[in-house]
Amino acid sequence: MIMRYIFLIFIAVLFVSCTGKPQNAKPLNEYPDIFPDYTFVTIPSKIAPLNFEVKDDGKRFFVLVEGESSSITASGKRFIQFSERKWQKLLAENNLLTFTVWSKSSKEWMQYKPFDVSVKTEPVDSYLTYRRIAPGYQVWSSMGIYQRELSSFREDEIVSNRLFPGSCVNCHAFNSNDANSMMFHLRGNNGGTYFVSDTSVFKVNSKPEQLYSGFQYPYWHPSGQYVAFSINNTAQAFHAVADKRIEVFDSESDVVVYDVHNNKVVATPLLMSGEWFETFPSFSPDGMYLYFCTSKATPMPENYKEVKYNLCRIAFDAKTGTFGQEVDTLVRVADTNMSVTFPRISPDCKWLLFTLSDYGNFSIWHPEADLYMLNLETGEYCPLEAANSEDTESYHSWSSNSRWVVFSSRRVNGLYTMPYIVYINEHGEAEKPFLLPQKSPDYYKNSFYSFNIPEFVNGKVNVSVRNIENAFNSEGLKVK
Amino acid sequence: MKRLLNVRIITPVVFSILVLFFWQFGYRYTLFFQEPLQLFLTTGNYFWETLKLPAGFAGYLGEFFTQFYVIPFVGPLIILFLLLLLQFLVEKIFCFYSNSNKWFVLSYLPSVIYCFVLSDEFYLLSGLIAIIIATALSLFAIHIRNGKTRAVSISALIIVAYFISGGAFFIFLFTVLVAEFIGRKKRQNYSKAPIVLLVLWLIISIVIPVLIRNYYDPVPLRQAFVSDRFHKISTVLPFPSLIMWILIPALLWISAFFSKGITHNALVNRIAQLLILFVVAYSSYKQFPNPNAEKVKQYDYYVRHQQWEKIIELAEKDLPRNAFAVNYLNLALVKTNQLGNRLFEFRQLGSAGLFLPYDREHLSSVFGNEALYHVGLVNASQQYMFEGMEAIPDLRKSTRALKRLTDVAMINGDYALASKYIDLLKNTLFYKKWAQNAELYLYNELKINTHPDWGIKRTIRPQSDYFFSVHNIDVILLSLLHDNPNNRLAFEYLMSYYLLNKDLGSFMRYVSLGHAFDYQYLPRSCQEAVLYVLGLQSREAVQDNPYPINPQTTQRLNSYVNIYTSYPDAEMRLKNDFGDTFWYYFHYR
Repeated sequence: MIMRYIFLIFIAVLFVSCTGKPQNAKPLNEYPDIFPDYTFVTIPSKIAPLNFEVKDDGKRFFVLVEGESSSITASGKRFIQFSERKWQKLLAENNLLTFTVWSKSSKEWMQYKPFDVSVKTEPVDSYLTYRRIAPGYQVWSSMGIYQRELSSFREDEIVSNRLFPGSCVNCHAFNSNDANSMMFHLRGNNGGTYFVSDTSVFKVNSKPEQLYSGFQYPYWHPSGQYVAFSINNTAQAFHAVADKRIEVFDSESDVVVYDVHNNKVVATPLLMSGEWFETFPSFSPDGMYLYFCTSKATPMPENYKEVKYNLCRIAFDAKTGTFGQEVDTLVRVADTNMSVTFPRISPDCKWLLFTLSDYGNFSIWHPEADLYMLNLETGEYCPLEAANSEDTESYHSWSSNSRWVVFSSRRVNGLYTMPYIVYINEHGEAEKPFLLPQKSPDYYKNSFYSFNIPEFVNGKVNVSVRNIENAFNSEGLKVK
Repeated sequence: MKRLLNVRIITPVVFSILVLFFWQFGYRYTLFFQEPLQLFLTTGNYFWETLKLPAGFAGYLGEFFTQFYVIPFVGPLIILFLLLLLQFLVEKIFCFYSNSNKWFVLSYLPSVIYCFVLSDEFYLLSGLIAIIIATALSLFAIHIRNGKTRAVSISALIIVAYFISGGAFFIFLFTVLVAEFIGRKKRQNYSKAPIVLLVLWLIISIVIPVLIRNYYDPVPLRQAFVSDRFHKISTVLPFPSLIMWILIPALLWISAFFSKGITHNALVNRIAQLLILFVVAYSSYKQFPNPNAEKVKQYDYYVRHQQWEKIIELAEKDLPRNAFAVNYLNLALVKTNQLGNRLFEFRQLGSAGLFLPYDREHLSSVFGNEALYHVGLVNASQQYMFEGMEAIPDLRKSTRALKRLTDVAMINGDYALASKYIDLLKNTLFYKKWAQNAELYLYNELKINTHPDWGIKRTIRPQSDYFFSVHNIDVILLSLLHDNPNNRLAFEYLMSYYLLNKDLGSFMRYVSLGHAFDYQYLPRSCQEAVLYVLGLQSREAVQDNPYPINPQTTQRLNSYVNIYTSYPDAEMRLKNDFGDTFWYYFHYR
């Protein structure tokens, strides 16, 4: 009988200590220092749990997340990891979450000031794709293109160099966030540009004889018939001093459009000028314009700091595959004295998001690089303050509904690029971004990889190993 | 019985002595070299991430044991233990059909082969462990007496064997097939497995790797069957491992059919087995160990531990001949203030002997980073080391690289980055202490400035920016000297560069930078070069030169010139007394 009581008391103590809100905690007048920093961020209603690490010397932590109509708790010795099922239910029922964090030192519990997380009902695309690669110089070990289901922690490989040892996979792109319409480059033996349509794959030999370089930075035309590519003679140089590592620059670059249906290159002298470097093409979502970046050509690498890119556009007629006769300049170096890269237009055609750095076109290696938003109706642009940091912000892409942007940032440690998701309201303003959640909060600490080219996708890419291998082993189409 | 006892005692004793001798006195630096080229983390996450791939369990154990190589003599002991374990299991395989004593000597055959295989740095300890696991599973399976239980167990264990030991699961498959084929003839109560079951096992063995690679872990088909835990380069077929996969089941077959024939003449039988063992050991010894590579790894070990005098001693005993060793020797000379004096005592290989050119293949940039780091080119050292880590053939990371990347991040004040690397190293067994100590320096500028290594590097690293290329190393060394005229290593490397390239114009232009170092006399090679250039001008130029030059050097020059100008066979005559001078190098090399 005594043993039964002891057992019941033990269970009760265990229950209280594991799930009960700490009592008589000492209040602290500060927010908890957590990684990732999820304080006051804005998240979509279908996102994996915001698991985090509390960065104080506490021996045990307890977290209460309260919404208007429901709440959940979690506790742990180091990491706070929520039940996925309870988390999804919480997001479905609430628009504002208040996180209260308790930390127990050796003596007593302390309670941090609560912080809020805003939950938006506007959905984000269901998948995020990215390339994972070490942020190295010229050599890479493991690399691959992966897809992550945003509402969970599930990640699947699309293609990697474990399947094709020694090769490099890069520049994956989707037509209007469509998981069934993808392309990527594979460099090395049997290299080429691979087009994935539903589950089928075909290869194009992406170095047409008439061009000095193969296809590089891609962007799909919304019709699916065309993909604009830059062609670049790219080289690297390595800085000797502490604050910079690598300079990537083009000594030649132009923009062409590849007609996927007719397997031919469409070009205009306006985008293939010897006097200008043209790069980073991007079609407008209505397909009427091709946006690109252009800089006055100059000998490289001697003048690498002088190369600054304007943002321009040229009309494009998808029916005839022809270009307009004039180039408009939207952001001028004369005004900014800086360099534009990665123009990306929101699917509702209202906003153009771009990166601005001191010079050059490889903004990921520029700590000063920031995101800027251009209003396509007024032509005005300004920094996307809430999204930017002291370190690099570079590649970015829009969600299908124009309400979310994913961008790469080096703010955590200055080297390893991580994907941040930011909410953009109807006025083109950003709210505080959040780092892509991972099941284990120390995932990024233990990772040796950067997340390149994060792209929202509306579903899962279903391409089989066999189909990719068949394309790999095929001759591939020769571009006309 | 006595003779039998002797064999059972003498054989393992002799084997153990030979194995320990081979590794401890022959190839220990291979072990020291391998150990820091992996990053074995003691976290649960690392455990599960490693285990979820085929051969992950063997890989995990392999990495676990490899980390102990850092302790002298423990590496050879681990290898000996695993080789004896393999021998024990192989002996049990022999036991299955016959008295094991008949085959006792031959049971060492797989262990002897793999002892030498492991001395090839590309063959991983995890491969040996995978073979042991698969052999143990085979023994377990064939000893199940009940036919039905055995059939079910084998069907399941094929998958288990594949998943934990990768390609070594062929040992399991072939062993059970051999046992089933000949079992009923040789062992009583060993029930017969229907042919259809054997075919099913074969099908499972083919289908499982294909399914796993198609839907779970996409890798090339061959790698799916072999796994990447035997050889560091996944595209290489690990031929010796393949031999083991066939050899062990073959030994079972041999023991079943040849036991009877050898019972009458045990002595001859043992001698024959010893002969086989000797022949196989000799061929393996000829095939796998590489004494030249071992020498380079010995240099590398001394460089990592900054045992500069030992490097010089080693070079004095046996002149280094390849670029890696010469590079390390020159680094040791410059670190001990001897480069300028002894540059031409050793065989030189031009500027590559001073700074290795960048090579993206394998690990040459790991070697190359050392000289760059010590001279103060920390960003270039970081580049070489980062690239070296990425070039590790088995795509894994490295504690050695992380330590150097931490050094550079600390020197550069990239504390968030340094903290990331320190956190990783804190999760290792043998680098935890180093990491914890490094952590004390984070964000503490004053403390770093007084660190015996990082503090100095902060004073000699480049202050003005330029693009680094090892092909312009002379210009870069000049820039280092411009930023810090007291960088003695940069000065001696620069002078050595000019002398090795016989660029006397540049040498004379910049040799006066040596005044910053309060030399009593210039380094001997520099004195020789200065006197040579001045001597070409006039006798007065030599006598009135403003450089700190030892009068003995001037006398030696006179002696040299006398011989050089008087004898047609001067090269031969000068070699003994002047072979270590710049003059001899300039004229004859």
